[in-house]
Amino acid sequence: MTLSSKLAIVFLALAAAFAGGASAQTAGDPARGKTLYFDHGCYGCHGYQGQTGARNLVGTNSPIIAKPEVFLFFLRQRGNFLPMIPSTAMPRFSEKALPDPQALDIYAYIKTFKLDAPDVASIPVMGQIEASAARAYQAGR
Amino acid sequence: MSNDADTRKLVGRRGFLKGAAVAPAAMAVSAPELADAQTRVAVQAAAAASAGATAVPAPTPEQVARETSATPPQTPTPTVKVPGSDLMVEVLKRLGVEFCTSNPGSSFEALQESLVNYGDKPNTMPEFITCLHEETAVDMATGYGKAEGKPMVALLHGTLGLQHASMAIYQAYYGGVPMVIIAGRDDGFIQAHTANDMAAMVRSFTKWDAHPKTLPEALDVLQEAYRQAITAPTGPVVVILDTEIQKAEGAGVAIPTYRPPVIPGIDAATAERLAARLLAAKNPRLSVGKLRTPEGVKNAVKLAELVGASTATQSTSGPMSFPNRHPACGPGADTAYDFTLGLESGPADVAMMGPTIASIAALRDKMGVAFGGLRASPAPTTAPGGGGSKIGEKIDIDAEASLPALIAVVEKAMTPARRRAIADRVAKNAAANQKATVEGVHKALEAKRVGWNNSPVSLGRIYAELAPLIENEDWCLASPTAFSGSHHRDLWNHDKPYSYLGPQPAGGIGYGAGASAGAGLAARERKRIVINIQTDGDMNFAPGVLWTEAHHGLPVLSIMHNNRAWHQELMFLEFMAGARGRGTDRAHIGSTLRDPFIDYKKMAEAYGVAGEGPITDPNELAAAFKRGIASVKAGKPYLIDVITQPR
Repeated sequence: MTLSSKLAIVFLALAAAFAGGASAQTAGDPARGKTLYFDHGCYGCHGYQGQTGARNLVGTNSPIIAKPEVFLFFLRQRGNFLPMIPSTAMPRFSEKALPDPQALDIYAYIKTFKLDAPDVASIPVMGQIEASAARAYQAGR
Repeated sequence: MSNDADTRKLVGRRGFLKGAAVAPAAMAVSAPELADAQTRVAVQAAAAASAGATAVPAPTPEQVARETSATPPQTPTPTVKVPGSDLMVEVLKRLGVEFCTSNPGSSFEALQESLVNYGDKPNTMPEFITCLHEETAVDMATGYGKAEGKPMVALLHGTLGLQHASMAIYQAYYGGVPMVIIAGRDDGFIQAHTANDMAAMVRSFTKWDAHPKTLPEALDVLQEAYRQAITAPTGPVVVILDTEIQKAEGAGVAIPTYRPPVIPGIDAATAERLAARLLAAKNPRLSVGKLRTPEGVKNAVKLAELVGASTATQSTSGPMSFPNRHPACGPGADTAYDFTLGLESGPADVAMMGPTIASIAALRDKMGVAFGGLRASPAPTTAPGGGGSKIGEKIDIDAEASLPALIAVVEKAMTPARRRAIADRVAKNAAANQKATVEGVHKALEAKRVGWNNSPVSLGRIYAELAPLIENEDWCLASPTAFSGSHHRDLWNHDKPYSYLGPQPAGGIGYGAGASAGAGLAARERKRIVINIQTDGDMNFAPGVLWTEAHHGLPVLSIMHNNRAWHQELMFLEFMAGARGRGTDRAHIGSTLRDPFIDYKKMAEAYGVAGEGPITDPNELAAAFKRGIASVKAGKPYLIDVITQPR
């Protein structure tokens, strides 16, 4: 089992543990979160709408953003402390660097993201690309 | 006319010496003029000594005497009957060198004059290409060399030009890109621009260098430089040419006959052995890496077709490899291969692997710099850059030079029965590979539709929108694409040796714009167009390349991947700040290009390149791309500024 698979199980378990009962921690403000999402550079890896870049946020069914409590837990546990080689992996966010209320604002903003992924068949350019791939190869075109 | 020009040149140089001599003296002495030249030298030396200054050496008494006319002025050298530099240009013409990129400098004024004036068709073969920075001159030679598999010339001025160009030379060395670098040397003029052993500054990252002492020797050396550049391991070479030799009398000096290099290939016995294994295999495979020239690619295709081998390629990650949508290219009908032959690549049962730059690095690295990636290491059992590409038997021989012999043996051994069996296999492989291509493209499109309508624009959409517009064009994707997602790899048909020119050879930023312009030189002569997905950080190292594109009519379509940052570093910094618990809200400092944003359309226009943008609506891309392609097909470079998602 890979490390990422193990982590996925851990966070699924956490999501299940936090399931049931509304949480007061869901009260983030998405408008403030939008500013914080930019200021803290979240867009750097997740794109401005959470759909591009190193890690998609929407359309992945990630347990990490299924519950605010899991999201906070994830932020605080991330990363090693003195990496010798720079990494583009998710940074750790301490309570001091990103207090819970601000983190929850970001969480609220993330939850406003909607998947924008039209069907391949509905995008004419993609139809052209598929047709081109299906055509016989022409040497010396 | 020439005597007048020479006189003006001498006057200009005397003027420079006058300025150099007077300025330090004026700092120390309030008297307006010092009549005696010897006194001036003494005062200047004293002033320099008292200030601890050593940057500007005092002129010699002879120079001051010449400057102050204490002795009669030097008689201008009579015009020679046949300038030595004309013969140098003739050598380059006969070698087929198409271009010479350069930023003008006094150490090669004679050679430059010959380049632009000598011959029946002056300023052709090679054509003088004006660059605004020497790094650009060499990056252009890199882009051209990658696209064509042969050298052009980059002409540099003395110690200064070599140092300006050194970063680009370093990258060309890592990439094994063939080019001939000529550096002018004028030991009688500005001393800070010359040195006894100028090539030493770049010796540890060039393949070969020479400093001829006579005109006949210089002509030989230029030919040898060309041979060295194109012989495996290919790479940049340096020739130092003194002004005296450039201006020497060439009457009676013969141009030597050029002898192409003999690049060793496999011997007859090895060819027989490999051919037998390929023909005996029920399911043979070729693993094709980076070959040296288009001829090598052509022969790799021929061999695959002859023996009915399925083929692996590196054409979506760099130049000179197997066309990725050729019917033989793909996993084939059966992935249980019983014999795999590697051509500069693995995995393979047997692989022919020519010498790489790493094999000569220790010989060239006299100073013991030990550049990472070129340091001595145990004999590799894997292909270059290929983790896990296991090779059973490695034959240390250039694959491209070996292919003709191997093909000849295979053709000779072919029988009707073999032909029938191979034809059947070829058909099955073609069907399977076509299916794999269609499925791969569909899978890729499923991923790239995410964020399709996002603004800022997704990188996947840029590549997807371009695909049908260039499908019927002869195109070359010249810029590195790792930072923009490399979406061409699974969407575009890489059917030419130059379809994609690959990454920055040593990972250095500031390379893409110059390399694209160099690919544009090759493209202009061949009715090809160049696509440059241009990252903003890279563009700002030497944006003057846009002027070179406009001035020389290079068909380069630059599409800005404008994420307003050095984004890799932004992400590194965010991770580091997070690891230390300090938060990421200040990571933008020093890693972003904001406050103010850079207007690339205006930048392009300032250099004479038409452009448009910034585009934030993805629905505007296709029309803009069509305008851009029409422009470059008409010989006018074009820039489209697209505000993009970070990655």
